[in-house]
Amino acid sequence: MDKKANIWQLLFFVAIPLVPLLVFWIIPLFVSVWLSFTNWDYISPDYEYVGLSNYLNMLADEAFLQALGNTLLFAVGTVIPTIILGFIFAVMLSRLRRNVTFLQGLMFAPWITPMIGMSIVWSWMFDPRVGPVNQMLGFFGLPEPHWLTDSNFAIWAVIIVTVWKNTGWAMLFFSDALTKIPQSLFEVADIEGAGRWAKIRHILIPLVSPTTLFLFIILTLDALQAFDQINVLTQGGPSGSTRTLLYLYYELAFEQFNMGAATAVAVLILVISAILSFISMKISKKYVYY
Amino acid sequence: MAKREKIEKLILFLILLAIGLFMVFPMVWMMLSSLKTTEEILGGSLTLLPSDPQWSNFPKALEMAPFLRFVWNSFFTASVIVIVQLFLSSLLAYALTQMEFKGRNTLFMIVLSTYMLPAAATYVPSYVIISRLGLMDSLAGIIVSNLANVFTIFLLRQNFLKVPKELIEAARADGASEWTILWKIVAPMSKNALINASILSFVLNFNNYLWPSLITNSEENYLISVGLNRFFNTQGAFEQTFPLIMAATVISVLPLLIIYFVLQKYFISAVSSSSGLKG
Amino acid sequence: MFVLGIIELKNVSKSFDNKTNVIDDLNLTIESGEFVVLLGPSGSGKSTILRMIAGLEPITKGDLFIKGKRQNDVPAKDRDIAMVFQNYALYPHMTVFDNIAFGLKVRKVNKGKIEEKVEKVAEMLGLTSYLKRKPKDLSGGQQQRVALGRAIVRDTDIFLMDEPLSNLDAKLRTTMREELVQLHRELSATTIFVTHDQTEAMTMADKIVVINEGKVQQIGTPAEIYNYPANLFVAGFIGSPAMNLLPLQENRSGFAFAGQMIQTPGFTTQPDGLILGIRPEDCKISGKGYPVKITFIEDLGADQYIHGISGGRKVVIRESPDKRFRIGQHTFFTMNPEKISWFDKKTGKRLEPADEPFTGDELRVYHG
Ligand SMILES: Nc1ncnc2c1ncn2[C@@H]1O[C@H](COP(=O)(O)OP(=O)(O)O)[C@@H](O)[C@H]1O
Ligand SMILES: [Mg+2]
Repeated sequence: MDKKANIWQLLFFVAIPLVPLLVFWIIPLFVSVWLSFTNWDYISPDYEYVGLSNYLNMLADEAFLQALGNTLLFAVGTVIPTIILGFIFAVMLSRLRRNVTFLQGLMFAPWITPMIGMSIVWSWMFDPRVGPVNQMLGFFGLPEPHWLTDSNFAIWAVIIVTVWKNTGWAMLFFSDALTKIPQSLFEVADIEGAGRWAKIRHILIPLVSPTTLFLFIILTLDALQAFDQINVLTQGGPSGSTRTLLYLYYELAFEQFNMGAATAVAVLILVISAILSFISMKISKKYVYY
Repeated sequence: MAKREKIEKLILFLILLAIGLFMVFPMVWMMLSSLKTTEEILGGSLTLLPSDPQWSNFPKALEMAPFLRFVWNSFFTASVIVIVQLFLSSLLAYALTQMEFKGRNTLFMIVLSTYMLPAAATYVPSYVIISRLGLMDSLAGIIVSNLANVFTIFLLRQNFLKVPKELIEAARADGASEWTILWKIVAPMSKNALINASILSFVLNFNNYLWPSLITNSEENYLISVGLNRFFNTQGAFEQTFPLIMAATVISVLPLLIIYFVLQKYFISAVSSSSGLKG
Repeated sequence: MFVLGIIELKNVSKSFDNKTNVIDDLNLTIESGEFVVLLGPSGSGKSTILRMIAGLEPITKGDLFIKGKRQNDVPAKDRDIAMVFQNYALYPHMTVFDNIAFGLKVRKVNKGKIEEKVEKVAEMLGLTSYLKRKPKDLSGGQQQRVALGRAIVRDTDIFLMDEPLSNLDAKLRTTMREELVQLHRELSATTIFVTHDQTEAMTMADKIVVINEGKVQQIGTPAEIYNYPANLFVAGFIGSPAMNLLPLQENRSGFAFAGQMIQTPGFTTQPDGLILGIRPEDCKISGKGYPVKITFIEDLGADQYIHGISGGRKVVIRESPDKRFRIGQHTFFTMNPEKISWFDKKTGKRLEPADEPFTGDELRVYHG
């Protein structure tokens, strides 16, 4: 039996820890929703309720629609390669006995580094004149795009940096999931006559699917909130080609101080995130095998 | 068969090594570039190694902006945040797992539901709150606004659940207070979870950028990422300062990277442990 | 005629660390259709032997033949053997049907055929109404049947089972024991069954292979192993309670136990010290014989086991339940001289009396 707590204990163990959560998470979330129905500009003390007009303006805004599309492309473009590469690396690593930690250490290192610092490095690596990326492409006779200044390539540069930073992280999750699959399942499959591909397809992939789902959700939420790399590499440009919803929100709120419009975008991001988390919770119930 | 397998493993190792080296290549390139001269880089030569290492790039970069101060700010705020977070999260996780009160499950669901929500959605109101509290442009503002960490609460709760009920009941029977039980029994038994939570939280707070950049605007309060990006924005356009920017970036990246390579095992187990939270 | 076994291990050794041999120079021939039990304490290397036969562990030294073909370099998936694991190793994400069907599916058997076979096996094992369930929604006994079904459906003639019953409760274990024997009779596939439980071995085996520390101690029928243990290890391991093993004192006129001279036969080899082995049921409490002080009485209803000290040694004697004894009582016991086994104290090996040579020539005794 748990102990029935008295009021002082509750105050201490529950109320105090909840203060920062309440002040900097829960209340602001509700305030954001409320602000999205106003035309507050941060400077003036007055504001008016404008109903849904922030949302309606948003939907009619070219820049918003472009940002929505960019966000989608960015999310798909980062999440899927990160998951696939992370999975492949983890499977390859699982076949080694020695040096595994060393290799994991190399692959995971990007995750530790500050995104700002490494984006600065990448911005020079993408430099068409002196950067090693194009030197390498040139060496193989491949086209050498102007990564950061060509609106067809800028978002791919941002995607490459993001995938580079997160793949090792996804790999660790898959490695952990793989070690939790009992060896005997593969042995049975061996005896049953399954080849390498059959084992990957019928056993490995289905058994890591809870991890895949989890990574899919977390990486998507992460993609929705990507900021640092965009800020350093392209500042949302060229011609808005790398402006995601979050970047748009940042510009509206902290460059234009159009708090109503900004919070409307924030609420949209919030809603998308909430839907994703909700779906993940629903689906993950189905995937619990053990 | 054994021989073929050995060759196969060797090939696999070499491929993975190549991938691993590719992953750390940007870091290596950064370090090498920080030791080159501007001419060497702009000359467009393909050589990777600096012909004559320019160690003086580092003092020069440090002269242009107080990077050591930025690193200290990051280190200081991240440390304080981690310690307070662990303390508060332990209390709440303990209440959620070992104490009985009305609405306990509801409370957990509310806390849980904020786990996956984007922090950015809170920035505008939080910005106002920070300025009302008079904490704008201060390290205290950064610390206070980052104290809530749902992930840590979540991780600790899951580990506190594993502490056998009998131990806690026995302690209560011996007259131990809840405070004593938490810090003398439950927390020591969840040592690994506490370490893992601190590592993850420290990395995120040390590298934090967007929010601290919004609420600080004097140099003495910059975190390393903020200071570095400001420096990059003012100097980055000039190719002449490129080696200095690389030197500054090395200063910002190296502290955590060194800690990481020394404590690699702990970092990796910390991340792996966080994967146990799904489902 | 030279009879080839269906499975033959010739001088097989296995080492995990290239230093110590976990399996040491093992020779074993298993004939077609036999139900062979590998019996030994945990850690003795039984699983390792089974896994080498299955192809899950490479063989360090020696040769493995199946149906006359050397298998050392054949991967597990091409050996066409079925195996049941101790923890069942069911695929958690597949239904019972898919679990049973998996081996056929990856071998590209056509769909209709798979369905027909799986249904037949399911009926045989009473699983028909569970085919759509996932393993986690089955009881331990049902999971165990699925694991069996997966092996049976493959129609192979070699079954390997690694302690398949040890995760079941005692009652279910007894019924499954009978079912497995029944099944073996129906399918008449060669079966190698690993266990550390001697009751399982005694009740199921055509042939028992006793293993200790990676070495074969004895191969024989359950009766042979029980009645003629080849060495001290087998004598001590088989039977519950174990055989009394009593070292004899040697003096000028012969051998003695508890101060009484003991008549010993002549042996084919000259022993270096002598140990007498006698099972509890071959001893009797009596008014004469060897003195014993009763220390403990174990009443099992149908029998009682009298534990005592005789000649400084612990002895156990089985008695009928109607007799009355008390703890602390000083009395005597006798042994049935025909049932005595003799062992060389130094080598631990069984000694055969020279005058009445043992006639059962099917008894092959391997010494470690
Ligand atoms: N993969 C392995 N690596 C190292 N030693 C092992 C391995 N598998 C088994 N062993 C060792 O081999 C011996 C025999 O093990 P095993 O065949 O599992 O015994 P049993 O099945 O009879 O209990 C034990 O000492 C065990 O520690
Ligand atoms: Mg075993």
